[in-house]
Amino acid sequence: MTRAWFRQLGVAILYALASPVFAVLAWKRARNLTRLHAALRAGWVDCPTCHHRNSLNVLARCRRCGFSEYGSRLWCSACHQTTQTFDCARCRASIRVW
Amino acid sequence: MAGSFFEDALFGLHRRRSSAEALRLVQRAHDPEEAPAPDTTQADLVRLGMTPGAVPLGTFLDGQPLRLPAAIANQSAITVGASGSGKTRFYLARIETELNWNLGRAAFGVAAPPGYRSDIELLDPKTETFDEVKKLVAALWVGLPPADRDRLAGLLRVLDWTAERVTPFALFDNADGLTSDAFLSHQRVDIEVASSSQTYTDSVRALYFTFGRFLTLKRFPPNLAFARRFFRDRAFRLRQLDGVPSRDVAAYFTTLDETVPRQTIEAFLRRLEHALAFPEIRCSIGMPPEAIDRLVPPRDARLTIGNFGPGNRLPLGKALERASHRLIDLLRTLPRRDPSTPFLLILEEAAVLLSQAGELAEPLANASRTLRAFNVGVQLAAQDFANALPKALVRTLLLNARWVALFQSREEAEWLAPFAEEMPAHLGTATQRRTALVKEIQNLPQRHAYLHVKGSRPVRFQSLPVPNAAARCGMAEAELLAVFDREITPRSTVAIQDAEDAIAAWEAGVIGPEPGSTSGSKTATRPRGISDLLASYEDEDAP
Repeated sequence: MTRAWFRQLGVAILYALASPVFAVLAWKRARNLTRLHAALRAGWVDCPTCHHRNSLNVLARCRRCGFSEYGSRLWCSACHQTTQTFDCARCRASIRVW
Repeated sequence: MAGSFFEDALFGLHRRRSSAEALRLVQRAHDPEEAPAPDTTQADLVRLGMTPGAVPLGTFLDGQPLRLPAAIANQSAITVGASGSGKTRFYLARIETELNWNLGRAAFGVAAPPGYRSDIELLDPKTETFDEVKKLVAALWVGLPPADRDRLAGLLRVLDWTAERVTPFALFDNADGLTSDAFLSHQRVDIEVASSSQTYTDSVRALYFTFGRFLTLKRFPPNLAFARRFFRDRAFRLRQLDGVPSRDVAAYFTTLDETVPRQTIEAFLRRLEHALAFPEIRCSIGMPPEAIDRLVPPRDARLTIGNFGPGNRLPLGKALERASHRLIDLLRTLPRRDPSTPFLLILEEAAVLLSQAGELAEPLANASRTLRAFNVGVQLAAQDFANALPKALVRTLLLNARWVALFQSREEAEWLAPFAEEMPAHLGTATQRRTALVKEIQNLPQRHAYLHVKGSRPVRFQSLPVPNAAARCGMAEAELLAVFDREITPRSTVAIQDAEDAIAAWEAGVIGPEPGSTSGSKTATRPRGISDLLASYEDEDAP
């Protein structure tokens, strides 16, 4: 067996060993995206602390580039910055959306 | 973090809908049919302002007058505003109203309630408001017919310390018996120690405290010559202790030479010498109570203005010490007053006063809780209330304030942020409303403020216009100050020379001749070393 064959075998074993980790990560990613999709479809998120209904669609200002637009508070269409959390308008507790 | 391909795709998918939804929410807030119910607070306050005796404070933005019922306006309050935002003029208008009403005249278009009487005291640790009130009163005085001028002058009492005149102040006079002698002495010594730049050891402090008790019992003023003779001449001390009703004070000073080291006594005398080195303070607190009663007879003053600014005559610590003594006196006497008439205590630059005279914080916090029963309102004006004071104290004072007036201010704007959602003037989401209200308060123009009376929503108003005193009567500001100093100040102050004469007469009567001139004095003086001892033996051997 050549040296190249051993290298390919090693890589294959490495992939085989890592595949469960990638699978878990992919599952988590898919779950998060599903949650995000559901929240974006609803247009609001209930605060888990005070149950205040917070709208996701506001006059939002990007905290990275400062771009302001009427749209989702979780995404900036100018720099594509995404935000996973925001503060509840009533109790100021942070809400994780996705 | 920047979004990945999937997230960008998802947000892109919902982008149009999100934008439309955000716009729809904002339009709904703009839509009069779907807008929240109109703010009824202003209408409520206008209705309350119709009650007789309501105090004019300003106008709403639509021009309607803002008046607060006396029962609210005279309670404890906090006024915050940056320098030049209009809080001094706000209080000037209030003082002008009270002065005119006490004279039975209309103020800002509002007639005086029949038989009106109120007491008001201004403590100003920066002199600016004090001077403004002086000019205001002088302008009023000039504009009055001669018969009313005397009445106006009689309403005022001035607390001031200048190179020419001082307000006498009996530091250790407890003739009214409002507190125990020990408590009075304790308070005086506490203030002196806290505001002094010198260190006070426990033993010096204890000596000062007991000496203060002795002065209180004898109704004596602090006097350096007396103190020197008292501590250095045992025979003189024993004569002075004769008839002192307190046995522990008498015992303390009878055995002074055995129980208190000489260094402690000398250290105390050095501190007393420093305290009385300033002629304004020596003449103010050094006059005996009998002389004060003779030179400045007690009278029924309704407006007291106190200048506690250091100026160029006193160090800051000494000026604040004056303010602290006055405040402690007020807090001692106010619980004994007749509650049928209101008393308004205005503390200008309260944050500066309380942050530098920390010993006042607790009594003042207690006063704001308890003095309401005696119809006393403590109104605090400050620039940086939220940052200059400890949070717990700010919270206590806020809890006990009946109303808050916020002129242009920074951190304090957050106090009203929780009400943003209830106020119809701001649009958008809850967070946007809060932010808009805070920014509005942080950028209010001069004389504009938010008034928050507890139990109702905050309302924006404009304080009453108080024209410049000089322009009002066509005189220069210096002339107005001269009129005040000539016509009104002498009624509650004493000329420095008169004070010095009174002190000299007291010293001559109580201290008497120097110890060296009497035959028995040598035995009373304790030798300080071997040389003193040998010298005294030589003197005794001499024919």
